[in-house]
Amino acid sequence: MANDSSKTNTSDEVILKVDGLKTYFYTDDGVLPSVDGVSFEIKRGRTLGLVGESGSGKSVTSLSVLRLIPQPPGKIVDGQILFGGQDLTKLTEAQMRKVRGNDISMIFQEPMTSLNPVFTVGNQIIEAILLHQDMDYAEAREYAIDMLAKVGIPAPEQRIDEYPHQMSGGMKQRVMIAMALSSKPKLLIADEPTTALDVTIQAQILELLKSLQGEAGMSILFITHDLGVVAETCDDVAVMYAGRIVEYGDVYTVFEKPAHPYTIGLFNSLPTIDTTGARGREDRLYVIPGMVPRPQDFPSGCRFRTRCQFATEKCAQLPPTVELEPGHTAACWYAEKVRAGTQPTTDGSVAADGSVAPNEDAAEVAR
Amino acid sequence: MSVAPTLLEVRNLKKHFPIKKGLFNRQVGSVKAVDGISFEVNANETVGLVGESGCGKTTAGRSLLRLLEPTDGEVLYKGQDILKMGPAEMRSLRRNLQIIFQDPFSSLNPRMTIESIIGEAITFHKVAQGPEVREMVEGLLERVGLQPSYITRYPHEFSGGQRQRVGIARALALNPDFIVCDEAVSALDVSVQAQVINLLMDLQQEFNLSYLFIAHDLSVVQHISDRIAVMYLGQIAEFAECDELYDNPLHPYTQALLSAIPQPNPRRRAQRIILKGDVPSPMNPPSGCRFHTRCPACFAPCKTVEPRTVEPTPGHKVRCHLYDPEFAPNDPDIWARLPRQPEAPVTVTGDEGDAPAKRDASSDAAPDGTDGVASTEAAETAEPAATSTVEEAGAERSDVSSDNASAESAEADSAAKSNA
Repeated sequence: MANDSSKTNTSDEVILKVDGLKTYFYTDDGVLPSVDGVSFEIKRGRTLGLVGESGSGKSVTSLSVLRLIPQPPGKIVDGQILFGGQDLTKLTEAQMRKVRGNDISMIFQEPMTSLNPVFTVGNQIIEAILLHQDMDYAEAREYAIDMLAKVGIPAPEQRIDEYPHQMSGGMKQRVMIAMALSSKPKLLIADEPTTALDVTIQAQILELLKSLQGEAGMSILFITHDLGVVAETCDDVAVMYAGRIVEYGDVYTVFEKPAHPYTIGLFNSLPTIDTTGARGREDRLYVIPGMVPRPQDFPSGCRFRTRCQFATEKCAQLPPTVELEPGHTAACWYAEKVRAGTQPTTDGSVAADGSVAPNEDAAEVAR
Repeated sequence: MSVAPTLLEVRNLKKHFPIKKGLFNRQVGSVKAVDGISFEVNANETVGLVGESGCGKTTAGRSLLRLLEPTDGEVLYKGQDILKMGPAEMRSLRRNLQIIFQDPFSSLNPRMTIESIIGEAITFHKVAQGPEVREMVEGLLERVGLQPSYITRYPHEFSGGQRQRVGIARALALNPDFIVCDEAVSALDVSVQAQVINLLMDLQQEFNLSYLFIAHDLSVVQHISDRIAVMYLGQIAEFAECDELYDNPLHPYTQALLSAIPQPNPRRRAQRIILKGDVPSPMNPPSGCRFHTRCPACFAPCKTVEPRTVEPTPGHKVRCHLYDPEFAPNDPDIWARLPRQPEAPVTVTGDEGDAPAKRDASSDAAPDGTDGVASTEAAETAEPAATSTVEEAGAERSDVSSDNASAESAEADSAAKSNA
């Protein structure tokens, strides 16, 4: 949404800066490096998409930011999480509680299970408001009704006294959003907020998040596995694989000139709807060979090398994070070459139609 | 229109679940999960069944296999009504009709080895016995891309993608000719999903299979299907060839559904049609057209009269009053509210009524977007939206002219497919 003229709240002020974050889990199977040296930053009013398949460490990253990692077995072993000038990893639990749900809010994946079934939704929203804001009960209730109205719940005066089971999935997710936004957070962490919802409801929720973000000027860390959702909602994107960020940049650059073999493979294995008529049902989908390795089986050096077609012996050493152009980085020894193989599509219309083009190129490179 | 023979025909299939309440378990109502759906699946064809959760697509898949006993209707398999068959007949027929389930984590018995899961059906139907079963199971595992040595393992030792492969091998064990894939790839990660989709398509070629591919992910359905049925609240809203459906969706629900899919392309944002509200409950579906509560182009008869299924162009069925000659409105305002104008002139409405409506819509495209019940954020992206409508209008014209040609080529395609 960086290019949208409507949004005036973006600035260069960095809200969250994660630097070299390492979250390890100490289990009977050994030390699992679920998040291993992740760095990114989110500027005010912008949305960063954290994409990856299951097991890539994206949820652990977000939970680490809020220090919600169960400890033990998990532990943030290294790195800094700078939020508003203070390092969240150094805060005490009491200080952290003041940050959680106040300056940083979170929406979880499952609206069905993240609300308490034995309390009314109003009860749960009001609890959060009373905890973080200087209001009495009546004011908080008024405010909760306002918030419900804001997230598009019809007849909020009545719905506030309903229990979660009386609401549909989309409604529950709206309640979660109302709750998360009631404290006017500077940063919203949305962990797969639409994954459990239907497409038409997903469209509603994404729209809602976008408009609320525009109003409040908050930053969003958006975690998802759906590249389509990223393209629609995010300004920047970080692609995670096996606990590391393999590619990072603004959404246009990463989607149009991907430089990491994993990113390219991910795009190509996606069946896309091409509404321009040029599509072939008989085409096989591109397949990344193998599976995402389990944390105990992460290969040395580049963790993608066991599945990568460009891999050489050099890849057994940790690849450098190459800055290809300002703000666009890829952790690959051959990022430049890999990217040269993909066709840059700068023209919007070409990009819209030619989403297949990079695929073919990449496939050729593969051969 | 297709050369391939019809393998399975579903006529007016209904499945109602009773709601019972009170001391005597009196029936107080029913959930009309599937309420009169009709379609047919040809040999070696994939029919996609899409819809949102709760629209009855899974119930449809299960009741046409009689895993749930349907309330009413006919299911003709090679001309025979399987709903009238006795238990013994049905059992032997099940060899030909198989299903792959959605959840690879709960659809395999955790206490059975892979050999007994896949081999059970083989032994039951006396296809093979003794050591032959093991050979067959090993062959099947190899075919679906698993190592034959996995035969002694238990389901928990596999990843999601591997389990789904086991589910596929199990469905293939009896060499069926029709498989219901009930959200077969929905639970899988993108890269694994691609592997399984490719496998399903290869197997279709190899074993001459027909699929009913149930999914909520329209991009996957488009990739794999020949024809697609869009379900809404227990009924089929639209049924057409895959390309036709995506190029020229007629039903307002299909149009909204297609536009709601997030595209992995950052430059194609904000052309979405946002539907208001939720899917109504199937316990108490709206009167008339079931979609009228959310429809941007709803007009007078929609609220009271249940729409019929009409066929504006051959092979493209739609259940909507807009295309029904009896109700089709001549009022251009109603047509203008339709988020996407149909490409080919709708034959039934006549040229006079339709042509001005179309012109109206293409010239007023931008205000249409803001006025309609379902609005895109036209203000935010006024420029790209405008350019895209121009492009679309251009494409529209060329498509109308080449309509016949494309229909012919589609026929040629399907002919070629059946030859192969």
